[in-house]
Formats: sequence, C-alpha cells, structure tokens
Amino acid sequence: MIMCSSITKSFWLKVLPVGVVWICMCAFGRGRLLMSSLDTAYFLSLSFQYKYLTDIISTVEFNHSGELLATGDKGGRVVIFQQETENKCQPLSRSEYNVYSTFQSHEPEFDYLKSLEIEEKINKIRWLPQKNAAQFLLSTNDKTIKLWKISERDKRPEGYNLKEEDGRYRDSTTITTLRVPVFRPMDLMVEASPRRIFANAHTYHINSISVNSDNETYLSADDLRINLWHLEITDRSFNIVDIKPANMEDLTEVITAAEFHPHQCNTFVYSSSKGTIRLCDMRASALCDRHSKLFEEPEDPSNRSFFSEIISSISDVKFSHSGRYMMTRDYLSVKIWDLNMENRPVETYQVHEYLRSKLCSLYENDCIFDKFECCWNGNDSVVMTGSYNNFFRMLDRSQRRDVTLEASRESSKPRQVLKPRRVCAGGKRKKDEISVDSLDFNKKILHTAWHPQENIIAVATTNNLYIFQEKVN
Amino acid sequence: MGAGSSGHVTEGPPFRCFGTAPRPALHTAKTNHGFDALRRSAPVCRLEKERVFSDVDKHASPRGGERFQTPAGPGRGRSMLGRGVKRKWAYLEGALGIGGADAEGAAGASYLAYLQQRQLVLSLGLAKLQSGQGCQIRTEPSLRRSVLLANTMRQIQEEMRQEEADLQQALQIARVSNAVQDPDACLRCSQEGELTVSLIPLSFTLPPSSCSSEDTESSESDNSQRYLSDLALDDIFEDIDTSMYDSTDISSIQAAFHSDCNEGLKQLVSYPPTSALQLCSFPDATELDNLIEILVDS
Repeated sequence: MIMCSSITKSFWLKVLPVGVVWICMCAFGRGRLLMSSLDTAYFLSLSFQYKYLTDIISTVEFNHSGELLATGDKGGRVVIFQQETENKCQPLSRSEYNVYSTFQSHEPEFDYLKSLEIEEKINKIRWLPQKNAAQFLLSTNDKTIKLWKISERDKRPEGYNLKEEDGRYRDSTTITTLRVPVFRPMDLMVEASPRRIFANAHTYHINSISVNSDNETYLSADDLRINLWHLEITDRSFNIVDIKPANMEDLTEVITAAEFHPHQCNTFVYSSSKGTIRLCDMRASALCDRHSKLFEEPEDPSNRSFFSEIISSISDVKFSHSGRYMMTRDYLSVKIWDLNMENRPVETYQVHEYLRSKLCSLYENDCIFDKFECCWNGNDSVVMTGSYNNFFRMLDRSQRRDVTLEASRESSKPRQVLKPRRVCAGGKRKKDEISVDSLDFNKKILHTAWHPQENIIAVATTNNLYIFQEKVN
Repeated sequence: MGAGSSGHVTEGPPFRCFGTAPRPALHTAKTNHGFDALRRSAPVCRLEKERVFSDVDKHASPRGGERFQTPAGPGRGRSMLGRGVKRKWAYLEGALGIGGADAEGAAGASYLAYLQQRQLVLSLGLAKLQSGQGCQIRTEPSLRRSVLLANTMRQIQEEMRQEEADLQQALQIARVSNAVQDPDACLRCSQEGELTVSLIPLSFTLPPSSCSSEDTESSESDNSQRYLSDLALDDIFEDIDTSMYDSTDISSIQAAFHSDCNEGLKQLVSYPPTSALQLCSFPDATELDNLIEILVDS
C-alpha cells in the first residue's frame, strides 16, 4: 500500500501499453531514436500512459537513473512516479510509471511588505544524484527552495511494552512480562520529509535551480540575481551574478534560465531576455558579472518586427549530457551551441515557424510570453520541445529530421502508429493537415523530459502527463 | 511566467481561432476607445484585418513590388520597421509631390496599415502593463514580461521620435523649395511654427517590486500633470515637453501604479488616436489638406 494522502483527490487513468507498429531501418541501440526513411513522414511508434493530475503541471523531471519521474504543479504539490518494468532482465521491455509518492512541497504565502501573495506553484524540480537508499530532490517556488528526502519504509517495530499496536497505552495492570520490540515487514510506505529550507535569498522570482557536479552546491537564479548555495547550509548563500542596474529605470534585461555545466563544477551559463547566453567561470572572480563567453547570434534584419525582442527572449537553456553543447529555446526556434563558438549556433531548428505571421495575435493574448522548455535525449542525438495544440516536436540532430507529434487521448489509439502532425501555414490545406487558424493556443506543452538512458519521454499538457515509450516487437 | 500567462489562459472562454472567438478582455471599457474605433473601421478578427491590408496593397500597387504583407515562408516574416521606413519616405515623397502618383497611393495605404499596427502594439502594451497592476492583482507580475513590454514600447517610441525628426526635416526642405516659388507661403509656414508630432504618451510601468526605495513619486505625478496641461493648451505647435520621454521609461512612469494617477493615465491611454491622421498635427492648412487627401486616397 502506498500512502499518499492526496491520491484520492486525483484520479489517474492507465492505458495499458499495447503493441504498435515499429518501423525502423536498423538495429536498435540504447538511447538512439530511430526514424523511418521510407516516407517523408517519420513514424515514431510509442506506447503510452496517461496520467491526470488535479492541477496544472508546472515542471517535469526524471531522476538520474530514470527510475523516478517527478512532477510539480501549480498547487505546490509534487507527485513522483516510479518505473516498473515488466522484465528487468530484458532491455527495452515495457515499462510503466506508477505513483510512488505525493506530498505538498510549498504552501501559498503572503508577503506583508508588498501586500502580495507568493504563489506555491513549483517552478522547478531537480534531483540530486543518489548516494544512499533515500532519494533527494530540490523543489522551488518563486521565493523558497526546499530539499526533500524521499525514503522508503518497509519495516516497523512491533511488540512495544507500554503501547498497543495501534498506539493506545496499555493498562499497566496487564503488563506482566517484558519483551524486546522487533522489526517486522510492513507494506511499503514512502515518506517525504523536508530536510532543508533555503529561504529569503531572492527578491525576484526564482526561475531556475541547478545542482552542481560536485554534489555539494547548487545555484538558484531569479530575474536579476544568481545565488550559490551549499546543500548543507541554509542561512546564507553567495551571490555570484547580479545584473540589477543601479537605477531600475535602466533595466532592460533579465535572467531567464541558468544551469551548471554537467562536468565542470566551476562553469555555469545563464540566458537573458535579450537572447544572449553568458558562460561564467567561478574561478575568475567571486562575482561573475563579467562573463567568460557571450553567446549571441546577430539578428536577421529581414525578420525584424515589433516583436523581435520578445521572441528572441530565451526561455530555457540546457547543457548536453556530454557537456560540449548547449541548447537554447526561444519563442520560435531551438538552437544548439558549441561551447567553443560564441558568434552563432551550430544548429538552428524552427519549432513552429508558421506562427511568425501570427505574432501580433499571440502578443495580444499573451501567448508570446509563454516559456517553453527543451530537453536532450540520453546520447544527445535528439532534442525535444513543446508547442501549441498539444503538439511537441522531436528534432533528430544526427539525421537532420524532425517530427511533430500530439499528446492527446484522441490522437493516440492502441495498435496504431503515433501519427506525425503537420501544420499548414497558408494556402491550400492538404488532407490531414491542420491549419494555423485552428490551433488551440490554450493547449500548450511547456514541459517535457527525456529518460536519461531509455527512449521514454514525459510530456506535460495542462493537466495531463503523457508518458511515451518506444516499443520494439 | 506563472501568474501572468496562466491567468490569461484561464480567463474567458477557451478559444481556438483568433478570428472566431471573443477576444480575451484585456482592457476596461474606459481604455477601449481606441480599440473600438479601430475595430469598427476594420473587420473583427485581427487576422482578417491583416488580410484586408494586403488586399488594399494589391489594389494600390498592381505591379507588385514591395508589399506591407510579405508572404509567409521560411525566414520571411513581416518586416515592420524596415519596410515601414521605406514606406514612410515614399509617403513623404508622395506628400510633397515628388514621387509618382502610384507611389503616393501605395505608400499611403501601407503606411497607414503600418501605423495602425504600431498603434495597436503600443496600446496593447500600455494596457498590459497597466493591467499588471490592476485591482485584481494578487501576486507579483512577471518582471520579464514587463521588461519585454517596456522595451517594445521604447522601441516604438524611438521610431516615432525619429519619424517626427524626419518629418520636420522633410517639411523644412519643402518649405525651402516652396519659399523659392512662393515667398508668401514661406512666411505663412514660419509663422505657424514648427511641425510637431504629438507622441503617444508612453505610460508603461514596471511592477512595484522593481521600484527602488527612492521612489520619485511626486515627479512622476508632475510629469503626467504637465503632459495633461500640454494637451489642454491649444498650443500644439510648440515643442512638446520631452522630459517625460527623455527620462527612460520606468521611473517616470512608475506613478502609473499609484491610484491617484490611474485616472489621468486612463485618459492618456484612450487618447491614442484611431487613425494615422491624428498622429501628426500640421501647421499649415493647405498641407494638411494635401496630406489628408493622400491618406484617404481620394
């Protein structure tokens, strides 16, 4: 029995993975996503699960082994799913993710000084590498970061002298003998307990946290500052980046995302609302206001519009697993940068270029400010990001191919290949294409995650978590 | 970001197409003057409006060539600013009778469209920044969103200021050439004073969290008041007090958050004219007539 108090409030629907047609060109390798070249359409056949959460999902993250998948939502809750594989010995056998633990991470707070509420929405979750039996993760809302310990308990002491098993105190007259309590097996219980609370260090809204490769420190970034913490110390942090101008009237740029390098514990990057990425080396100075590298692509003058700056704002930055590349997501595109080359990205992929002519409408309904995330697959050959209408995009770097898929119950049927989607930008709409005007901009996929070793992806629509796995017959 | 975007998503009925669903309500009735007029003069849907402009373009310049609306395609989006500049010069040439008749019509129509688009972006941005501090606000608005909006507004303001300067320069040239032909006209011009462009008041703001402790509250109120008094004056020919625009945006407009200025600012927001004509006030009646004729393409 898994004790999760809020599980009764949310219901989850499990669609059993079924065999789907798998079209591939060559032998499957771990971590490689193979696409068909038989047609122009690329078929990615995945079996899937579908989870419904009561609140809007705000972050999704696999742990380092991929066994656990954490989601944070707008209500401050964290739900952790655990992978259960049919046949552990056989690679690529069917996996399911079932609820492992649910807990309330953050509560809404009130800032009395400004008379404003502080949202309990979980902005980011980051797992710590596992060191012992327990799992640790960092979760953050706008102002406070918490370190949670998730541990299993499958034994409990039984045979107390003074208490009954249900906790009632025994009548002292009935105690005639003395016994030693012993541990007996019990149903598995997963407990989450807050171990550290890192508070009062951010004036502005925290947008990123990133655990360092040294496993001792982590950074937290808000709109104007980045702080460095030690996981053991909660009452102080070091400020390593501060871009707040002396005069707030001069503010034109904010920090949008930050991440530590996966291997070099002295290196981190942060992206800005102006489309630049700065790489900083903490060995250079205590305050890393001066970047070591500045990554910026000159603007294409033919694409200039009123909205150029807004759409150039970078919403996510992620290092590749190798540490050689980093990926940035702005409103319309995904760019892959080589850390050794600052003046332009090595690869640029258009996510939904058909939206370029609709920018004014998207500006009007605020969709232009949506922050899409992006992620790498395990061996850095494929990147994935979300779009509107519950579409998400997979971009294969090695084969220079891309596919648009949809995360919806209607579009994913058993025994059917997951169908690629096409959006018709203008002119005559072909069969099976969707026109730009009929896209639902309320259905957006902002958060996606890829299993670090296997081809399992988690895609979050507004309330629903889709877990797709590729299937081999 | 969290509060802002999700709030807009859940407001009102879910919409699938911009053209067919009611637009999410961003403005109160008071601030909607500009939009209503804009909408009356154009079809309901913004997308429709864009198509109308491109149709107008087709009529205006049957040869093709440069259009306001570039065809959608990879790497070729609509170029607002770049094309606007070229259009503006063609328009000026037309106004001054330098260019050909075709250029006048095409330039006028597309320039009008461009100005309307710019006006829309400006008004929307102002409203968004204001609503960020509206009565319903419970959590802090997103700083990133406010900064991006402010930067966009500033960019538009800069462009409008540049246009004013260019227009003045162009009319100066015209005046000189007129003076050669008609000394009386020159005298008339100089008497009426310099051409001015009444810029849209840019009252954009940042959330209060960004307010520094040294809040220059009173000076911002003064700025707003001064601008209002400028409007009250019939003296549209005098140089506008540009102190409000010189002090870059944020501090001078932080007063917008304070309730006592909200009324004044609502009026300012509604002031934005509904047509390009009102963007410029011309000193000379005959020149005004010429330009009106060109713009309405009569």
